[in-house]
Amino acid sequence: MVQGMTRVRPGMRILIALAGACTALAVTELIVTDIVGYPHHIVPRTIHLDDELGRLSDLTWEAPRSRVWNVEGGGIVHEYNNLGLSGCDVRTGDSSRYVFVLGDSYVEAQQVHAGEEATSVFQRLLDSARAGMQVINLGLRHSDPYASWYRMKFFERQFAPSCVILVMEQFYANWLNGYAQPLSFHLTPSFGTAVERSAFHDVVATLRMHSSLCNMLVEGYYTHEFAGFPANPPPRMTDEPVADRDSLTDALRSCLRQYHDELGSRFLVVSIAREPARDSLLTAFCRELGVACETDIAIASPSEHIAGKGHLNLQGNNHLGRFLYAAFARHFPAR
Amino acid sequence: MPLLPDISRHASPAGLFLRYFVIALLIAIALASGAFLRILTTGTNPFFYATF
Repeated sequence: MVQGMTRVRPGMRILIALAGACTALAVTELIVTDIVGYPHHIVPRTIHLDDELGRLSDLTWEAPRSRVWNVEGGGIVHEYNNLGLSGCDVRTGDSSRYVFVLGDSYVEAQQVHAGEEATSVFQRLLDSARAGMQVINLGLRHSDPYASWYRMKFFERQFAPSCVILVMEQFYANWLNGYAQPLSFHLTPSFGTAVERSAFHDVVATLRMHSSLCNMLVEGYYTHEFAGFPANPPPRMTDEPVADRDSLTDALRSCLRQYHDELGSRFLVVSIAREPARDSLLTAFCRELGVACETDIAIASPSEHIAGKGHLNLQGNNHLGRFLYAAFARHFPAR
Repeated sequence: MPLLPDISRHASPAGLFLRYFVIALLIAIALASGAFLRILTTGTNPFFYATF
């Protein structure tokens, strides 16, 4: 034995190894939380909508103030509001009246900080002109107008909307044609019920809730599990059959008709798609239905998008927010 | 057969702690880096989210 050294007993060695490992995990946790800035996870509520919606059949309603990491936005951490939705906080008093803004990831706008989304810009403009009107951002990534209808039906039970704005950044032909046709707008008995999670899921969720490192590992692992998914992003116009590119699908028409039948004059369609030909068809169809419709092709400019072709950047969100306000003021004048 | 690798038969408790700490730290950082790299690389596709 070396002079001055004492032999450590095996039991003690295990304790020392555990102490070393725990300290290492704590240091890594500090690096991930404070240097990388990766957020913890807060368990969202999961509610069943309809099996027909495929990967959107369960609605994930984030917890209030929960935060998510976004790569496209430059590694920003996007924080959900007091309701667990994108956009600025919503005042939910008796005097509040609600404007639902439906749409996909362009409306959800996780690529900018909280308060910079188009709906937040819209809300600030409303605050100065219409006291009591509260914008509720119901945008969700990968949502088409059909999925948005179910989302609206669920949130209608929480907040009765004074008006509903559907923002379309494309015409969703491939998405909508992927559902059983004709589209059914029937709510099943399981609609709106909480989805039960397994005990294993709960354990993992608890770990993610208390550790950014665990959250990062799980999300990295999950990304691995769905490695094929990024190669199959939501279809764009160019993926559609040529014959469909200059027309509105029957599915989209039936969605718009359904919104109109339920909401009447409280419904507004806003198109920011980069397709002037189909914008004209949409405008004509909406006129025929008696639905208010606004289009803005200028948002399609590369300067409004992250890296010229991604989601809306800060400028694009500002643009869309102002456009939403202008469209709202035009179609829903103050009484 | 020892339960843990006998990397430090003659080390002091502090030396042992340091060695196990460094090994665990390297493993944890490697795992975290792998997960983070995967999130970053898949997240460069604007229509994919590292948020589930």
